[in-house]
Amino acid sequence: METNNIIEVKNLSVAFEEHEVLTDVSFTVKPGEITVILGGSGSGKTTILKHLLNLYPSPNNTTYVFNKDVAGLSEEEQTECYLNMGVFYQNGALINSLTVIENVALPLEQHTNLPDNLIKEMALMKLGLVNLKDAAHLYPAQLSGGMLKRAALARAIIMDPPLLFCDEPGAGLDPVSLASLDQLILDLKRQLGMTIVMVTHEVSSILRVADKIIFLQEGKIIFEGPKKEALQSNIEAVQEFFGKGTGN
Amino acid sequence: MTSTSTLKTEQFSFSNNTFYLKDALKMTNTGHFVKAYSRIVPGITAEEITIDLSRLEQIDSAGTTAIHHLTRMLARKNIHVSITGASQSIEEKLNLFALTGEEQARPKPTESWLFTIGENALVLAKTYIWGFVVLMADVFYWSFADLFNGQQRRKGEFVHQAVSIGVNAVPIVIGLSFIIGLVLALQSAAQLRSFGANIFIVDLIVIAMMGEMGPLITAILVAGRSGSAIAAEIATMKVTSETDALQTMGLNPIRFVVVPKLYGSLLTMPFLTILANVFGILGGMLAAYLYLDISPEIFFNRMPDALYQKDIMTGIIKSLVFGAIVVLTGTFFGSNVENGAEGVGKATTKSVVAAIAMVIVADMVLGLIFY
Repeated sequence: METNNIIEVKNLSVAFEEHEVLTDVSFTVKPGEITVILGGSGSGKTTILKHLLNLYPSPNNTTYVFNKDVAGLSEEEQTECYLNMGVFYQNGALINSLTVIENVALPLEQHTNLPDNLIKEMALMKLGLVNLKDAAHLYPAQLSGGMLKRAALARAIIMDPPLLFCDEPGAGLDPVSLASLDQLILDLKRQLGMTIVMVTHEVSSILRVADKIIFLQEGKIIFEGPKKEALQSNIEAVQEFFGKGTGN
Repeated sequence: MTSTSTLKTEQFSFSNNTFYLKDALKMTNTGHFVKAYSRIVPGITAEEITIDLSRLEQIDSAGTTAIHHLTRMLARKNIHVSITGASQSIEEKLNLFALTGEEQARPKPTESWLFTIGENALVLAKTYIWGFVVLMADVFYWSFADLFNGQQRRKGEFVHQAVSIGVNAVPIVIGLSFIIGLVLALQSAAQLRSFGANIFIVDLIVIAMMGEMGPLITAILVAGRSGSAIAAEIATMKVTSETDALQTMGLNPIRFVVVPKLYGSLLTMPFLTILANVFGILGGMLAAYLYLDISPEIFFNRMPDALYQKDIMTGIIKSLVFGAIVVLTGTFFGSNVENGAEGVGKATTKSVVAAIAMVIVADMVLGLIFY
């Protein structure tokens, strides 16, 4: 199945034991688009993300990433797929035994033949992008929550992946850091043509960066469309979210 | 090599003081480009070098980093560099992926070795020795206070700890004590037989097991089994901020977490030691019967001559001290954890090693006191 969508989810339903987490979920993500997945706690946002990352097994013919059914990927295909993705985990998920710069440089060391000095320079440059160059030689345990997030973003973009997943990137950041993070995400999209899928609750961030919004409620998509339409939506939950978030 | 040297590959070449790049400079081919210009740059004698990007269509962060790196290498040789022909998209990427500010991250300050030794000694004294003393005082204070006010005591926690530290260790303690008693008697049997002193195997086994081996084997096994578990549990609680949560709920973590473990250990260690003594002696008795023809009846009849109340009491007192050491070292290293998940593993290892070392030192000190 060859389409011009980077991600396509078709009729994905997931249940854990008796409890249905996702019901008949379908959506697409186009290249170069920033798609924000919204929804309350337990609405299935993280479950969708884990299916897209193939961390949870998806049924056949339901989840396509880079036009490939993730359910049928061989180990080599999966690795190749992962090399084209960056994942920015909510809690950073940095390796504690490595310094920040070692964490950021790790994918380059493992997957490229670039010389060590260039790898180090690239890692520092990416840390510079997230304003974390001075913390390069610190260990993750020595970083604050916001610094951890920025280091995690630097690691996620180190390979210039065409597809970036961000799980709650703004949670715990002050408004100024959040705005600069959003600006960086916009730069990555504009200058590298990166496709970004974000799970976030930060309304200010959504208003700044989102091209498209997918709104989940109890495992079902209740809204899918451009940000402009979401802001004018008649759906109560969507109205309530943006109304409260924008202080209206 | 002069500045007119040429280098050509499919995607980059150098001639007439100009680096020409074409098609794509990405992670897959940047490594070759870096190797190539690293060979060329030392031989360049020109005062001005051009990097021509007019035929370059794609670049990523590896490519831009290499171009910036090349520019700096040339600038260090006082060569003026001009980048020409870059498309708007490539120029934007060159600006986005520029290493701004200092070239290197701030290096760690290096100190003289004398300073390092002094600093480490200070850290050792302050963190380890003083820290351990303070923790010990804290634990004993709350253990004593808790005897009279059990309001913050979790129901059933003391029993749970006694089972976890003591009861669950029974099979391994009796199994290993039996084997050690048996081996001890076997090793001694040949020597005693050559002097015709077979009957003294009873004295040897009884004194060795009651005074030394029983308490020591038990303490080492408990340090490995429960000491590591205590260190890992407390370290994980610390890493995941559970201890902070306890504190902010008005609960003293020492009282809430450590005191039940100390009670459990102090209650069960003497019983475990007695079991180790009994099974060690039974192992020795089996070896004496098999290799020295000393029947169990003779063995039992001889035992009262070798067994002194003092040895029994010494063993019990040692077991109490060792039990406290195991809990305190586990708590100390667990609560001093650093560096997240990796630190938990380190704290556990340190706790076991320190507990065994301290048990042996304490055994020596108690041995000197009692004899």
